[in-house]
Amino acid sequence: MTTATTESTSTTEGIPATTSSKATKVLGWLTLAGFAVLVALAFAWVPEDTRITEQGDVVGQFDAVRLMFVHVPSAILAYTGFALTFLASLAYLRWRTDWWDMMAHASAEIGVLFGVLTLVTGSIWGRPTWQTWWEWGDVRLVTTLVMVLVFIGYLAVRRIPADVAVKARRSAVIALVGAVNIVIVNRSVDWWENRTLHQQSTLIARKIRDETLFTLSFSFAVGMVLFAWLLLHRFRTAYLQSQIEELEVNEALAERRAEAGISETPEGRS
Amino acid sequence: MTDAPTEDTVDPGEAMDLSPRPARPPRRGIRRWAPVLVVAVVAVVIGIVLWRVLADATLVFREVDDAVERREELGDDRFRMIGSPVSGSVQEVTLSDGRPAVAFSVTLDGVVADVVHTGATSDQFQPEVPVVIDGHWVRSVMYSNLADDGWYFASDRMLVKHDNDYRVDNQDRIDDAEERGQYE
Repeated sequence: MTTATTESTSTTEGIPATTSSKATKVLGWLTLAGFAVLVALAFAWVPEDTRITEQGDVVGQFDAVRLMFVHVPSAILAYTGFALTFLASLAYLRWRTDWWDMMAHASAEIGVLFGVLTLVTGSIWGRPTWQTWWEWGDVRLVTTLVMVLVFIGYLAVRRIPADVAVKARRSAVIALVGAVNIVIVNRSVDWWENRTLHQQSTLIARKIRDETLFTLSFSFAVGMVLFAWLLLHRFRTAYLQSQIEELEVNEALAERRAEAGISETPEGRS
Repeated sequence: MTDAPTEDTVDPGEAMDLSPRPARPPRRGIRRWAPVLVVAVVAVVIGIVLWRVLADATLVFREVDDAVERREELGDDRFRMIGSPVSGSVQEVTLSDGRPAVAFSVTLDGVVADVVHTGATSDQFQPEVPVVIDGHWVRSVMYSNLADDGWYFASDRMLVKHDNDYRVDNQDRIDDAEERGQYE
């Protein structure tokens, strides 16, 4: 588990030296334990996907189905990250506080992380089941790729040098526009059924056996704990970064005062 | 927040030098332009992706019944057809030019079409699991199967569209199949 640390110097007094807390430690350990249980459930408890047709043919995805427990939660967490970015951006434009901007930034980074994981695991799952790693023109695949690219662009825009408020406003608008694609990605399998190899929702149709459903639900729970753990650390890192930037401004002001022969505090004024 | 100098912190008698300092030289090199470059690359990639999607006319999967109904209209056009392989129809054949192929029939909504596939078959090529085959109609009786209507679909690429069903309705049948050694 990585934690951002800051040197405890006189200039950083009052700023926490770590992003870790009791809550994040609990979440971290819960994630690790959850993953261990998930691996056991996925490989030892859930049977492979097989069916027998009326003609007696054995069909199914067999062991490849176990990729579901990584791919589906990754997609859900990517949606969650981008949806949170959308809501935080909306809140930023309404209240203009750094808190919402930092929340939007943190959730977008985590959304991109899980979005990339969704694309990679989907591609790995697609090879044995669809006979292709990637299919250009498949609406589900391409809209997902565009969604991830838009939020990578969002993160890149945040790195373009500009005034903090301008940067926050600019990226919030991009998040609002980019979020439209979340709905398109999610509904694409129903809207363009004959333009995608991707299956329609299994959960909505309730076409899933009990062991698979339980393990999938468990993978969602573990994923959510991981998401919360990452979000807390990333948000706190962003907060510490803003505090350090503020300190640098204060130091610069102090230097100017010193140059002008003015003491920092009214009490110590010479 | 930043402590801006106020009347409380600044001695009016000692006026601060507020004349502007010479501006820092702007950041040069890759650090300054990297984010702009990333945004530009992302925009170009999104553009290419959309262009490829819009340009690819073979995207739509025609269902077997639709493809059969429009056979004359489609002529030699390449398109993708989706249908479920019929159990018991799969047979290995050799084409007149000596190439090996797989002949089978696909069905959807009660309409059947014969197929001759010359490309690789998927590991998931199974009866009743829908396949998307890329090819064109050929008017010939050479490779008739269950449809036997004087046409076959000559395909050279096969993809599998797995459905969303992960249930087991007939565990007893699976156990029987395992006992017969049909499946391990």
